[in-house]
Amino acid sequence: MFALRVILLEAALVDFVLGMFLFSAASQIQNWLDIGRTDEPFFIRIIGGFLVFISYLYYLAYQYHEKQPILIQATLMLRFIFIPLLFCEVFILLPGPFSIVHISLLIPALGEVYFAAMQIYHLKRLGKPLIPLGG
Amino acid sequence: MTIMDKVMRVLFFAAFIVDVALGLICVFFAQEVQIILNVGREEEPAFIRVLGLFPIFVGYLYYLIFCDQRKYLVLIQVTVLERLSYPILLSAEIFYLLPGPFSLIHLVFSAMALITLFLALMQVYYLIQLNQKVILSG
Repeated sequence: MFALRVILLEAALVDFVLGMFLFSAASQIQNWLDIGRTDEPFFIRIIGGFLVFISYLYYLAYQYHEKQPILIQATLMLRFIFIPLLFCEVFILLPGPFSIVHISLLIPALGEVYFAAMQIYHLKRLGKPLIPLGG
Repeated sequence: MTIMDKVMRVLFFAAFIVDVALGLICVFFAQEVQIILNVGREEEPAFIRVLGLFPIFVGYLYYLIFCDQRKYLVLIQVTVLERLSYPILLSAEIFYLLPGPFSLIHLVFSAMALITLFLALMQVYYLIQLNQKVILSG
């Protein structure tokens, strides 16, 4: 159980730091990655805002891991949604050659795989279903 | 099931449909979104696609709530914070960050902010009626 809590706290911290970075340094990131070329990179800022929300979910999962396993399962669903698209972007959709934009998406994609694998391992140990489908 | 439960169930279903639709549009029609909103001319608008994944996830949370709103009360509490924070961010974008004059993107953000705020207030009212904490703080 301690290992699961460490993973959840780690995910909360990573998402919070990344989210705040995207939120507050959106213009610099846009220039650095040479994407968008808009006056206000709101899409980067909103992604940052969402990541802060995800970190809040992880924080709650860390606090209520025994009472509310749904929070762990829901965040696993988030990882499952992200992994295919990020890998598709890096290896199929983004035009070559391999650049800083590819790397900036590949690193989060690998992070997603790591967190998903850890959460799957711990949910299986707890005997919980991986993805609740409602009903 | 009270009338309030039924009203909220309809709202949760509507939120699920709207969020998933919005997310899918961003993921599969990112080029068109980029052109319509006039936000850059990227060959591959990766960040618009990534942005689309978040509403899909939030839509999934609303789907779970719709399936059993009493069982997944914690998800209502979690989504309240998301719904309350987005009107603030969107208002900042509309009134300070986005360059003028008032354009389609301002209009889209205004509509999203109002709808999100309405849903947030309904969720807050519902949680108060159920004598539950509005926002979980750990």
